[in-house]
Amino acid sequence: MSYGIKLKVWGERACFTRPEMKVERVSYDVPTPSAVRGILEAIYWKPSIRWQVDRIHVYKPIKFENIRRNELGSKISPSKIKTAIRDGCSPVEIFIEKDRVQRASLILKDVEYIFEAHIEFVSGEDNNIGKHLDIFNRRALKGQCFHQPCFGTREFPVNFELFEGDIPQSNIKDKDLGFMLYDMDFSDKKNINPMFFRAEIINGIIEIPSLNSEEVKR
Amino acid sequence: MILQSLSKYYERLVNQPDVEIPEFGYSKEKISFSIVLNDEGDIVAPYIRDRREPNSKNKLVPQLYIVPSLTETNVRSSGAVSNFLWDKADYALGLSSNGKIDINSKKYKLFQKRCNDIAGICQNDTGLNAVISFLSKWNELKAKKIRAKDDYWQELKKGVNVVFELDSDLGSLVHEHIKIKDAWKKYILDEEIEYSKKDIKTNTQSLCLLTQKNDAIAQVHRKIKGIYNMKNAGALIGLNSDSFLSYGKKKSFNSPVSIKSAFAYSTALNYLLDRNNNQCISIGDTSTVYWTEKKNPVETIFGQLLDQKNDGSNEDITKFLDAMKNGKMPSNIETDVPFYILGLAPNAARISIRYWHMSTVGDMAEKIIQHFKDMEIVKSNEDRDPTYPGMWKILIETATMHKSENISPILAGNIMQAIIMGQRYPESLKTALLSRIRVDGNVNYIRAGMLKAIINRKNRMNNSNNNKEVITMALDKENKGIAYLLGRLFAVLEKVQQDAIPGANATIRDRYFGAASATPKIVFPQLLRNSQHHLSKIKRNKPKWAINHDKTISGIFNDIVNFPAHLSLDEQGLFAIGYYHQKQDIYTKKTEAVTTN
Repeated sequence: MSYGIKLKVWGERACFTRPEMKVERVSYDVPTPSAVRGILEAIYWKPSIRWQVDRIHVYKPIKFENIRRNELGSKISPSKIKTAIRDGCSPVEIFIEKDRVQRASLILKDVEYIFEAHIEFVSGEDNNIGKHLDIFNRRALKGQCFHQPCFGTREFPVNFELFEGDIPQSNIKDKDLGFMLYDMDFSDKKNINPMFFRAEIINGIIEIPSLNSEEVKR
Repeated sequence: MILQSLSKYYERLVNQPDVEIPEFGYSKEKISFSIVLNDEGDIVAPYIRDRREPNSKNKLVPQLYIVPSLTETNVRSSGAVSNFLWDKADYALGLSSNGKIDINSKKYKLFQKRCNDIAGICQNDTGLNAVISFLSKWNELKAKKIRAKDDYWQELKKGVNVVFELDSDLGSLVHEHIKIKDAWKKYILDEEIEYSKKDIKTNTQSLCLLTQKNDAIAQVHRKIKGIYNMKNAGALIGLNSDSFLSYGKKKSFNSPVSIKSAFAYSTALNYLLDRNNNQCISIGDTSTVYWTEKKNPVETIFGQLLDQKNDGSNEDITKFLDAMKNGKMPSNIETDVPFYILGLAPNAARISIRYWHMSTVGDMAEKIIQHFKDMEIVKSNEDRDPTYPGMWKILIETATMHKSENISPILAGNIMQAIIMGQRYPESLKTALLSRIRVDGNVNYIRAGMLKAIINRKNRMNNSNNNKEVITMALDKENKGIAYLLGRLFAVLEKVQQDAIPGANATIRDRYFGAASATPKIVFPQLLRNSQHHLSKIKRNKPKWAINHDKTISGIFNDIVNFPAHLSLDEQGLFAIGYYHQKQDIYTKKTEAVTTN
């Protein structure tokens, strides 16, 4: 459990959406632990493991940009899909022409981070930490992933690289980010709720509390 | 952070005695008339009192009063919902569309029910009892008698709001009685919780984003009014379409904010957006609000700086900025106080956030001064050119035909961001200014200053050690940059032509400025040839002038090796600045010469 991984990521744009500003998206200043988990899981994941983020290092200054995009206004209802499954020929479609919605987003520009994380086990089986770390390191070295990791939303792809050695000091100013989304609590599938924690950038590093610690409020 | 800062600001406002801000369960609404009742519930003289006041155009307008309000009343789209002790005449008096009283109308009955519900919780209050008995006794007959005597009846039909007054206590309104207020506060919290549970099968209590405590979550957030260009009020957090929902949550449960916190932030935001409070300015299509955590004079100064009406003549601001420029912050300003700026713009029926910036008072002051320092350039007219031009003056210079509707909204927001974050000015600003200059050939104080600011800031950010490219405030004879020299040359050639042909309708500036700045190799040889003719003409009448011009031209020519085929956009900016600098130099010399002669 003390063996962790370090991953360097960078990209042109990112959007870690605030839960209160979901419609007209406003990004947090830094990645949420949930977004980091998403990136790590895109590279390597198995049902027996859970990624626990330890630290996020921020390197580039925090810059925002405003963009406007046309998006779909509705979702396909489950009943439509059920009908299609049953009779095998009903259409499952939405046409954007009738359903266009314009949403503005306030997103981050030009980001670069180094994530430090480790693996926790979900159950008793497959508890071979060496194996999991090996697989991850190999995949990250080769640039292998299950799907392209993204910075919060799929339209912002992540460039990643395994990082080895000492992590360089960042010269980002200290900042108190207030309460940030930690992750969603999936323990009760019928009632999924968000969890929050107090985030601060100190010396360019954000310390992430572990999932079951008392700093995570649910 | 945004909502949290707004909630904190609400707490600050509530504790400020000079601010009239509604408490939880109340909001400001426009009231036109008050109905006067006696303690028994009969309507007595003066029957209906006019609560409107004349505005600046001497038209009677309803005034804002703090009245009890329900969240869902603002959304009276699906079915009738009644307010408490105030409402439109169709609720409060049962006034139907044909002008007669219908005491069986649904709206009237709802109004009565609302009053009765509160009376159940309220300890005996004469005002409330009077209203209830008035409502039970009221009918068409009584209304007829009043209608004959009162002219305001016509106004009531238009759907204006009324409140109630006791004739034993004229001046204070029934809903302001302390007992009623206490009862209302209890009632409204329960109502809001009930409303938030409407149609929701799961538990509506969860963690609130703002308070970090488990609390009843608001299903619908209050509407925000006052955003520029937004016809109907919209909520800041409103999920009005399926594609916005996740994890099976409906409506605002996707963004869990407790009922009281939702009230706090939306009331604070409505307060900020109210133009009368001077905390909001429109920049392009973005309504920008700003506030500090503690009461601070920089708040007002910031607003006036970026205000449309600011023509640079405000003495206080000029003094303040002069002091700051010299590094002396006025002692009554604490520099560590946090300063927040939020830019909001309408997007369909929603509100989108254009920018959000957290800073301190000291930092904000520094950034503003840096902006003005970058823009500083020699004035073309000491009296009319402001030392600290407001944002609007800059934006107007980018607009076609100097019309404010032609200002690009994104540009305004980007300039704001550049100023408050100390970043580079947007490239689109340079393009806009240069295309305006090319079209009308006018390089004025603001345009030249802004171009200087753009170039200097860009260079400062690119190479922090190498400051060779800094453009000075006035004519810089040491600047050997080809674009700058060509601009200077153009200015001299224009002067030569004007001296030779005084009163010409079209100078080379009108005809050739654009071409000269974009493709000098083609244009300048022609211009120089013509200027020789002009010079010989001048030699005949005023030989001294001709010699001076010749000297200036050869001085500039010393450093020109050849004419480049094209000038890049950046260089065209330098061309314009060179032109402006030289022109100002010529005209100051001329006035000096005139005075000495």
